[in-house]
Amino acid sequence: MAGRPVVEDVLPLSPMQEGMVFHALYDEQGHDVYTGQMTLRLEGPVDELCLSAAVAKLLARHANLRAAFRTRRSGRPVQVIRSTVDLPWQVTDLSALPPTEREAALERLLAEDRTQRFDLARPPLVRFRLVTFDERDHRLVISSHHLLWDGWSAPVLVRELFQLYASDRALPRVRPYRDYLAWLARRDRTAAEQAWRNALTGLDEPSLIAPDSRDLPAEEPHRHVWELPEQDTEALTAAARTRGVTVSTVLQGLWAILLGRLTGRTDVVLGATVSGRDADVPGIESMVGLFINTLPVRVRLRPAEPLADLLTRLQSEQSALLDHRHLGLADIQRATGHTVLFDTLLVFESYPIDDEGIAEALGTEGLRMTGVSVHDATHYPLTLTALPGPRLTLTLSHRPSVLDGEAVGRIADQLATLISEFIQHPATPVARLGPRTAIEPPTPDEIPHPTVRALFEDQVARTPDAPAVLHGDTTLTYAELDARADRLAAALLARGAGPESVVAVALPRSPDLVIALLAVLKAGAACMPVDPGYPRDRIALMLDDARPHLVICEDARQLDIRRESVCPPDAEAAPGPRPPLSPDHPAYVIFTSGSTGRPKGVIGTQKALANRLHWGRELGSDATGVRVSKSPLSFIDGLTELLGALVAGDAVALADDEATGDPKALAALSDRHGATLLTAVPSLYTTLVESAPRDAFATVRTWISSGETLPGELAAALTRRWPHARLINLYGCSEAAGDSLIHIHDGGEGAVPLGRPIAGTRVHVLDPFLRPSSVGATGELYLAGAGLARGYLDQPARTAERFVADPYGPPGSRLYRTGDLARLRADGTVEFLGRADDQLKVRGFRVEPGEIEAALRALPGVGGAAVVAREDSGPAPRRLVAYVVAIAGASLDALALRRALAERLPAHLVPWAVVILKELPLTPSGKLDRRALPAPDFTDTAATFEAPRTEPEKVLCGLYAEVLGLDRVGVHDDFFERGGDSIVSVRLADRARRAGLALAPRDIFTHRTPAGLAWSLPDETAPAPQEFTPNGAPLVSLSQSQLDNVKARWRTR
Amino acid sequence: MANPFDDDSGVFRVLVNDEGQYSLWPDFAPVPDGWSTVHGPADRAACLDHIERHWTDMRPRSLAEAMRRAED
Repeated sequence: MAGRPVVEDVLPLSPMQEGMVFHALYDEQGHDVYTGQMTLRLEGPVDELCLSAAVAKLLARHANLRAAFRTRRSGRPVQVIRSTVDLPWQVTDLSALPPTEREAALERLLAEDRTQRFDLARPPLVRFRLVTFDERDHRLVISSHHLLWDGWSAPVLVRELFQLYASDRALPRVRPYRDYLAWLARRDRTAAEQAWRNALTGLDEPSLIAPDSRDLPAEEPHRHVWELPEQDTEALTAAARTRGVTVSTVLQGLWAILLGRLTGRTDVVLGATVSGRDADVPGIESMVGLFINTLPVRVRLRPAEPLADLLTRLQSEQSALLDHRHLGLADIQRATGHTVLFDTLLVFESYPIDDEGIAEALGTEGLRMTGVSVHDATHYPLTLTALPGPRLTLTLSHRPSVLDGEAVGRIADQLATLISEFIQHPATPVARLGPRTAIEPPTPDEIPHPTVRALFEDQVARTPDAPAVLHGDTTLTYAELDARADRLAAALLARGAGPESVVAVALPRSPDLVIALLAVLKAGAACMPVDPGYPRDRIALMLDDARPHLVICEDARQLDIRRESVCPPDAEAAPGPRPPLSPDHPAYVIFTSGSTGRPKGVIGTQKALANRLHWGRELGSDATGVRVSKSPLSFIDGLTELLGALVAGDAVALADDEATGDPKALAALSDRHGATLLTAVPSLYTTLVESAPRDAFATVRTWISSGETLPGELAAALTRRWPHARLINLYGCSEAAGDSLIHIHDGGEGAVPLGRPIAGTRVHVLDPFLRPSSVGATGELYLAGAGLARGYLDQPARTAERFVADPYGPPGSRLYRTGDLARLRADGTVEFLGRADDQLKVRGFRVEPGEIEAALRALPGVGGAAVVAREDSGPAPRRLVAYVVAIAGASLDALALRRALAERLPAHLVPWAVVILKELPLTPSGKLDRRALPAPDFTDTAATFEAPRTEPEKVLCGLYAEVLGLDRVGVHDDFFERGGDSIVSVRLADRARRAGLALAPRDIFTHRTPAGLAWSLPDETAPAPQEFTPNGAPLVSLSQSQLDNVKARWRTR
Repeated sequence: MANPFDDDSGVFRVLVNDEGQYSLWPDFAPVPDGWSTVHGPADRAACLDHIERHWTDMRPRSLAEAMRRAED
């Protein structure tokens, strides 16, 4: 091997090599998991010189062992074959050590060796080290980058090495790796891409057990190894043979079932490594190189399908791909429109171990190879390796920072159970396979107070003279409140209301509203709160559906309802006997967003609401407190917030509309009344932490967060700012009386969990087969117990598919399936993981995009519509954005569409922006491609821009641009049509105040444009207001409902 | 996540409990205690249609009977 090395060849990479080069370059400093290590134990005398000469000959024989990997200027990696390389040979003599210490010294050596990365540009990417224990006991350590060869090659390589060592006889000519690369280049890529597209058609999402682990640095995996006893291995092989499938297919199918349980999906993809040795290249079976490929195996699990049928189906589906297994994973992902498909890998080590060949090479005398151990790894969080033999060896390698040993132990147990299920009961349907998780039988529900009125009246008896309602300068004691509610209840009963009837309450937040709600409950009827600020159409729709017996309201004309069903809030009658009230009678009707385009009414029972309220007494402090009522009353949280105070002996301080979203006004309310408990959604807490006045909320002892995920950073910021108050996260829905889970913030990291069930409540996390998910696995959250509603108003089918039979509760009991994805911690705490369907949460409001899409499609000229929640810039909250496509020939105006929606939908359902598209982007599988939807663009102002004229206008235009993130804003640009919302309005008002302009967030809602606001300032220096807005619509022409809607939009809870 | 209750191609039953409450139920899972099959196995739409036609009073049976007794 003399002479200066020259470049002998430049070759492309095989797909697998490309993937590995990517991973090696991705993190050039960290651990390269594709550094492999093989240790051979050699007994007998070793001739060092002769062995190193054999290594040199081996490198001379196989050109691909001399490869360096470089990236061309085009970005395309190539392998450059050098004519010669330095001999990578070292000798370590441990014979001077005491015999008992040699093994440990070797381990240290091996560990140290594994951390030595190969520089891909400096061949060879292999090194040999002979470690001598004593004259007759040696180890040969062969470390290499996985780019050079695969597991199948290893025995070939070792055999050749010893042939070269033992004899001078020339070996047969090597079939070069370049022949294989040439074969690869001749494959029909188009056909292969089509085959993979077919195989993955309709696949929605990847199957990831650790979606967040991709950006973590590489690490050396931990291993969980076990052997199947000989008898079981034989039985497994026999059972597979009986069914006409391979053991490899059996393991793929069982792994898919396990993956379904771990991810909560029935359409799963796992990665499988194939040998690649079936390529049509003569002599491929004895070639040295990297031939393996990692490919997706997609398995659609059908719960009722017998396990054996699943396996035969899987094998036949796979056979359609046999000719296309040369395509690289990156190419498959590109062809099918996925960026990632799986993060678990199954390796079935099917290569022949040529012990005999090696023994023969070494000859009958002298040196013997008595053991091989292999150390290699992958970058996947979890890899199952199966090594066939008399006893099947199974190894689960896992990244310890992603999956701990305990979790992997549970996975191993499940796999072991599935293997024995296949051996013993191959006809078992997939959904009924073991292991069966035992669930403790529930304790009977205890309901201390069967009805809401009883709870309230007990409290009145305890504290008749305590303040119950605080509103401005008005204070009502418990006794006063009770007496007025009794008189109105009598009037309601006299008008025919009672148990099983619905009474709507359409009043602004006021003492009258509190009296009315209590009166309805006292009469034994179900209360149905209606926000009088809702658009008329919406109110009409709710009243049409619920057909309330009475509506308590001030102005029947405004609400467009029949006079005879109206009851004024000041109606009175002498209290008399009341009809009996069962805990099963309805207590409330609450409307929630409906996916089919209509809101749906939830009928909640007395038992459910009483259970929630009675439990909620403990939310306050021991001493008498003051709870703020600010959540919108047409939602269940508004109802539980208000009534919760009144069954606990606390006073309820009623917030005006202004105080529901403006930190300054809310702080003033809280300080005025000495509020001790306040409920808000996380987006409002963000605003409070940012811009609440100094020293505000000093009396608050309990913050309650509900409605959407509470980020850990926000919880930390809140507790830092108000260290004396505790922070409670509540989770629930209208279908279960508002709240089902509670977590008291304890400073834990990450999103604050949903917590544990409240009194009288059970929760389950179930997999797609309705079996309890194991700890840490993704499943769907189901609720059971006293809180469950009766169902959906006049919708029996919808009720029967959401409120379903409970396999884990008392006989005949029901479960409510929430549609929320969750997982359990080992202590039973529930963590939230997102939605199973399209439902969105925006500022705590439940939003079915389908409802808004249906409203959009009902507008003239609209063809298609899609509504999503976006979080585009930094700390901006999630906001609804609608994407609309016109029908042929129609032209649409985004602002006009948005205004039309505002006339029909409540504010929380009106999209923040409407974007008009030529067509909705679709994924290759034909679904809406959310990632391809553009962010709304508010920067196009050329047509409407008008420069500021006065100093206040200049300041305001500058502040508008700043808070909206725009380059410039004209004096007539509407705050809301340029991307503003209530959260941003708080920021704008805050900045304006600092700039010396006296503005409240409410002013921004009223005046909207810099010109309008400037005109409204007390010391007005601005010119007279303009009679138009930028889009030409005069402000004064806003209808009453539009104005109401603007007001309603202000209420962000 | 695929919820078995939402599977349009699945096979279902209609279950009823002692209170006359209805539940859609996937055929692959064992029928829970306290419930019995009144329709199916059948496709999802047929089961929902059955429920829509037969579950005409959503009050629990014990409550409806108590109310009838009180009226008598």
